[in-house]
Order: sequence, then structure tokens, then C-alpha cells
Amino acid sequence: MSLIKQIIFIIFLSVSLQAQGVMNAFSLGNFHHHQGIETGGDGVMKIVPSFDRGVSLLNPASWHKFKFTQLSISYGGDQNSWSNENSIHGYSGLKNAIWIIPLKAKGSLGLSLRPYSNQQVTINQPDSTNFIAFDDTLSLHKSFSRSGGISALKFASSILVNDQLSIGFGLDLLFGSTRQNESLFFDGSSIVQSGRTRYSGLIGGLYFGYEFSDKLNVYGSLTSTIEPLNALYTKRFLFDDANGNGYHDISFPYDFPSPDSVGIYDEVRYKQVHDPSGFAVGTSYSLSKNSSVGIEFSQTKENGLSHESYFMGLQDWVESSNQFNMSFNRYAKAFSLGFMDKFILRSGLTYKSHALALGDNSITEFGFSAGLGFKFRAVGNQIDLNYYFGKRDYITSYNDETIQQLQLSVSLADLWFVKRRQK
Amino acid sequence: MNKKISFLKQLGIVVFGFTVWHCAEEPIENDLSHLNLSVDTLTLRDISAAPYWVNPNLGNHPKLYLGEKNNRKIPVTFFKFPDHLFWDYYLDSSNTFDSLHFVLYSDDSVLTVESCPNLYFSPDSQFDELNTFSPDVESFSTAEWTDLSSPSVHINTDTLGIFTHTKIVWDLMSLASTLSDTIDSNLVRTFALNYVTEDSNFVEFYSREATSGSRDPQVNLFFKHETVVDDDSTRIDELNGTVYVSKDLSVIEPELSWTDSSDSEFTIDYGHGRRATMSLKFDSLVAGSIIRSANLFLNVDTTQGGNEAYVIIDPIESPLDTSLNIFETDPYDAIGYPFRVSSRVSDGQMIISLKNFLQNVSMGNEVNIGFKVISDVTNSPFEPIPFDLNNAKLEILYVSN
Repeated sequence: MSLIKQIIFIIFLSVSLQAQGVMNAFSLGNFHHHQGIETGGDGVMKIVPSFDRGVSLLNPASWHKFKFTQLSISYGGDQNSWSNENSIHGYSGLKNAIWIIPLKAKGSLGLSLRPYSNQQVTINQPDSTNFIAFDDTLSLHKSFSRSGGISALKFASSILVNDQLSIGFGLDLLFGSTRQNESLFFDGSSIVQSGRTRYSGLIGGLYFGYEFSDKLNVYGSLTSTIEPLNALYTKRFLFDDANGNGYHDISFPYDFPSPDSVGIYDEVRYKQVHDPSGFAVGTSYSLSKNSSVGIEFSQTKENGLSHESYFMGLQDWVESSNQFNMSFNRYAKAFSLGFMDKFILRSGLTYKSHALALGDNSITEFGFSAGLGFKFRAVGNQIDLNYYFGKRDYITSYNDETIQQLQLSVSLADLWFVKRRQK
Repeated sequence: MNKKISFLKQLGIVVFGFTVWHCAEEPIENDLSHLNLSVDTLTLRDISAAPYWVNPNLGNHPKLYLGEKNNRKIPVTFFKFPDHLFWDYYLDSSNTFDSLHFVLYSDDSVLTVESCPNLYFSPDSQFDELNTFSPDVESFSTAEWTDLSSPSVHINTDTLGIFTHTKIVWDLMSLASTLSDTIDSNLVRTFALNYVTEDSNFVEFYSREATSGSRDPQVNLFFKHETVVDDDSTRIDELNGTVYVSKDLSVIEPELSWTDSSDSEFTIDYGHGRRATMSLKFDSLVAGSIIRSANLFLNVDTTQGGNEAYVIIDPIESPLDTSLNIFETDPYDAIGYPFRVSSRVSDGQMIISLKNFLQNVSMGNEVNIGFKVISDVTNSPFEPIPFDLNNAKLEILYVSN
């Protein structure tokens, strides 16, 4: 058990390793649900079950079908690259950690932690501008960098209303912070405007699943903001980063002005910077006892207010998104002792389109995923490995982007909260 | 169980592999013109200055003088030697003093015995390096001092025959018992340089501020020390020691008309105790701005002097409610470190950075009351530094957001 703890510790230790794509630079960054797959166990699907027969880790309305308490951790690596540039951005991090407790097949409780938005980005102005200061011509070069993002802690539960209908509820508590540096480089060092933004918000979700027959199920979800995401921006004093480390510190050569001479920082509260709403509908059809196909469609809309003074990075944000997913799954045979019968095959296709708020730009993404799972022990422990490949096209600006993602998901099932007789 | 552990180890390796996935941080290139950071300049020409006078003092100056130059007179130069173990050696019967010398060094290669002053000694005369001024020595006389006569002068050269320094030596053997007196609890070993007759000679020597010791004013002791080895033999060692001066001061007496309250020229003068207050109209920049450079340009009329001189500008801490401009000591309290700045006059111009102070004014940490402009103690006390305010300007380069 201690080894498992060590693995979990390593995973959490590396959560901070984030990196960038063009979408990271938009307003609140790149939302986790816009980047490839969300968990290694679900593939491209959001609400239609793909983890196991009739069960989706992302849809609480299906959780009551778990026979044992599940602890599932998904860890992944992402790589964004551009066709006409030799730059590749790679990063890895925790994609989802979820703990689900089924309640006698009548309901469930769940808790999950996942990244919600990745804001890690460094942007350079391609060209420098000249400024004539007294008798000197200065070459000015702007850059922007930020790190951090928003995470979501989800509390969810579900209840089986009758043999056919199940309903789930979820609350996503959004929290997190970002540190950003806006730099103007000239004459040997950068003048840096650093700041920190702290976020808080609450998003609610309603989920349902309905069994029309043994073969045909439909699923749906509604997402609505309960407390819009607010951003508290702390604007620090400008400083001359003489030692070039990006921090306002007192290591030699000393930054100017001295950090201890700077007074109170300005704090600005930007309200309703993120206020999403949306829905998803989907259906799955069992081709056989151990295989199924599924399709789903989801749409999200950003109702947040525009705060132009809050623009950091690229001057735009995703206003609405449509996503269409389909999958084919072959599940493990429940009670078979055959080695090959314990494997799960998972494949999917996805199409996403994002409309940007300013101008007529939009983003489309076409991707596919292929995954392999392995089920072991009677309680249904599961390991899933999933690969995603996507092509993201920016219609009017920015270079086309290729996304590759590899996710490993470990799901441990056990009987929890059951008193065992002492031996 | 072993199988499970082995499997988990493999899983750990896979997870670790993910963790160390190469994380690239290459920047994206894109237009950032919407970011508000911008550079701007500001030129201020509203600069004014007013002189004030204090008693001149050369206590920290690296040279000692005697005589008259450029209408400034140095009537006397004082030295004080501290208590030291070496003085007691004279009273030790195992020591025999061969010589006791008072030594000064100079960079004057044409110094002669005739141009040198006499040395005088007093066991009870006091002076203060920083607070003894010319009015304090108006009635100074060597009548009650011990006259140690004129020195011997040694011009020193290196192996190539190039002049290195001049050593001026006075013999103090006649004072040995006085200098090592242990009965006089108030003994002060004060010496003075003074010309026997009023003439126009002018000499200069190194003071204790000039070097780290080697050419400081000093007393050299040469003596033999006798050690009894056994009943039949004794050992005699030839030893020497040096006692360095603890205080030295050339008292400068400015020309009679050294202060003129109607004189409003922006000139500073170390030897005349002439200083200045300077005002420049600077309230603040755009809130939150940062100053990249703030250079004050002051021109100097070097035909009167001041070229290569160092000038100190120090922000005044609190205003002074007075119309006077002649004082015994400097009445203006300045902030000092870290806002005190110094710059050298070069080719008739002085450029001095006021960035740190003005940034703090802009941030509200300091108040711009004005500046005290003074001459550095290393400058010649015989030359004024006359500034030309007509072309004075403060150029500020700043960034705002």
C-alpha cells in the first residue's frame, strides 16, 4: 500500500508541470475539456459510458452501476506542435483524480479533482519597435508569460429514480491562481509588470441516464453557473528586472526599485469573467454483450462579461463550443478467466468547433483516440492507456496545431466502509 | 503479494516516465500591441540653486598643507599620536633607543629643507579633526610649544631613477622621555607644523586619509633590545617600530571676503566652505511608473576650476526655516544612503543620476524638498566649482502601464 502512496505522491508532485498551446493564451486559458480526452478511462466521450459497461467516470448518473468503490487517477502527457514551426511544447500532469462510492446500486457519491483551465503560456512579440529617447534609439521588445491555472473540485451524487431513470447532480468548485509577467525589454533589461490573479466560482451540473432497453440508453447533462467565476487581480509595482530572473527580488544585480520600498499593491476584482452554460446529449447502443457504440453532442456557451483591461496574452476568448463525439468500445468479459478477455478496446472520433468572441475567427479540431484497458482481480481494478491525436485549425490567424496526448489511468476498486471480521 | 508489488513497481516506472516527459517552454510569437506597457520621456528645466557657507574643514582631506595658495591660507597643521605600547619601550632598561623620527611623505620632488616648516610639540594641546576651524586658531602661537626645528629632506627614486616620493624627517630623540611619560595622565602627543616667519612658501604632504598606512604621518622608532641568554652571554636585537598618527588636520583660513550673502552664483568651493541647495520641480510621474533613468546634466565653467572634481548631491531631509546663508556648521540634514549620489566633472559637464530618489518620490516614500550640493573631500580646496544653470536639465526615461 505504501508503494501506491508513493505513486500518488509522485503524481501530485508533478501536477505543476504545465505548458502551452495557442489556446492557453486566450483569456482564461485552455479549458481542460477542450484538450484531447479528459480521462484515460473514458476516451473522447463525456457523458456516454465508455469506462465500462454502462459506466462513465464523467457522468455521475451512471455511477450507481459501480459494484465497488472506485479510486481512479488519470495522468497524461500532452504535446502541441505547429506544422510550419519547429517548436514543440510538451507537458505532463494530472488529468483527473476521482473517488466514487456506489450506495447499494441505488445511488452514489463522488469526489473528484481535475485541472479546469491551463494558463501556462509565454508569448513574444515577433518584431521590436523603436523609440527615440533623447539622443538614443531604443529597441523595445514585448513579451508576456503566465503560469498556473484553475482547478475544479467536484462533489457529485446520483440516485436511481426507477429501473430506467437515474439522475445525477454535480457541483464544480473552481479555484486557482495565475502569476503573470508582462515585460518590456530594452537597453539590456526588462521592465516587468507582474501580477497575480486568484479565481473562485461554482458551476452546477445536472445529469441523467435513461435505459430504453437492454441495448439502447440515452444520456444527457445540463451545465449552469451557480456563482460566476470572479478574478481578483493583484497588480504589483513595475520593476526593472536587472538580474533577469523574472522575480522582483534582492539577488545581485539588484532589481529596481528595491522590493521593500514598494508600497501596497492595487487589487482589482473582475466579476463574472467566466459564466458557462451548456448541455450534452448522447446515446449508446450495445452491439453485443461486450461491445457498444456511442455518440454524443455537447454545446457550451460563455456568458461571462468582457473585461478588456483584464486581457492578458492574446486578445480574444472562446465564446461558444460545439463538440461531437462517437466511440466504439469492446469491454472485458465479466467472469471469463481468459487472459485476452480481460482487455478493453476503446476508440473514438471527435469534432470540435470553437467560436471566438472578437472578430470572425474560429477554431476547429478533428481528432481520434485509441485506447487499451486491462481489467484484473475480481473487484474490477482497471488500467487504461489512451492515445489521442488531434488537428486544430485556426481559421484566420495563428498557425495550425497538432495535439497528441497519452493518458494512463489507474482505477482501483475495493469494498470500502465495510466492517470485516477480525481474524 | 510479490507479484502485486512487482506490478506496482512497473506501474511506478511508467508513471515516472510520464512525469519526466520533456517539458518545452518555447514561446509563441504573436502580436502584443494591446499590452499597455509603454516608454516615455520627460525633460525638466525648472532647476534653481542658492549658495550657503559653512566653516571650511579639511579633516577628511587626503592632503595636508601649509602656506598660502589662491588667496587661501593654511596657517597651521596639527597631528596627534595615540597611546601605544612602543612609547613604553623607552622606559624599559633592556631597550636602548638609537633614533626617534617624525616622518611625513610628499609627492613634491623639489621640496627643500628651506621650504619646509618647523615642527612643534605640545603635551597638552587639543584639536578636533572635524570641528576645529580657522576661528579656533586665530590666536594660535607656537610660543609655548617645543620647537623641533627643521627637518631633513630625502628625495627618493626607484631603480630607474624615477622620482617616487619625498620623505621629510624630524628628529624626536630630545622628546623621547616626554613622549613616553607615564606620570602625566593627560598627556596628548600633539605636533604642529608652522613656519617660523611669514612668507609665501607652500608645501603639501600626505594625510592619514591618503594611503592605507605606508605614507601616513608617523613616528619611527629604532632601538636595540638586550636579552640575557645565560650568565655568560646576552643577545642584542636591533628592532624598529612605527606609531601612526591618529588625527591630522590642516586648518584652512579663507580669504577675507569668503562669504558674501548677496552672491547668488551656483558655485561650490571646498576650501571656502561654500555649498549650495538645489531645487528641481518634480512632483510625480504617472501613478505606478518606473524610472529607467533620471540624469541631471549640469555644466561647469572649468576655466575657474573644478574639472575632474567630484560633486555630491544629497536630498535634504527636512526644510530649514531661515533666511540666513552663513552658518558655523552645515544646518541641512540630508538623507544620505541610499540616495546620496556622487559624480565627476568631465569635459565641463557633470551627469548625475537621481533615479533612485525620484522613484521613491514618485512612490510617495520620500518628499522632494531639495538637494544639498557639496564638494567631495578629495577635491582641491583651492579651486571653486562654478555651475552654469542656464543649460541645466533633468532627463527622465520612464515606463508606465
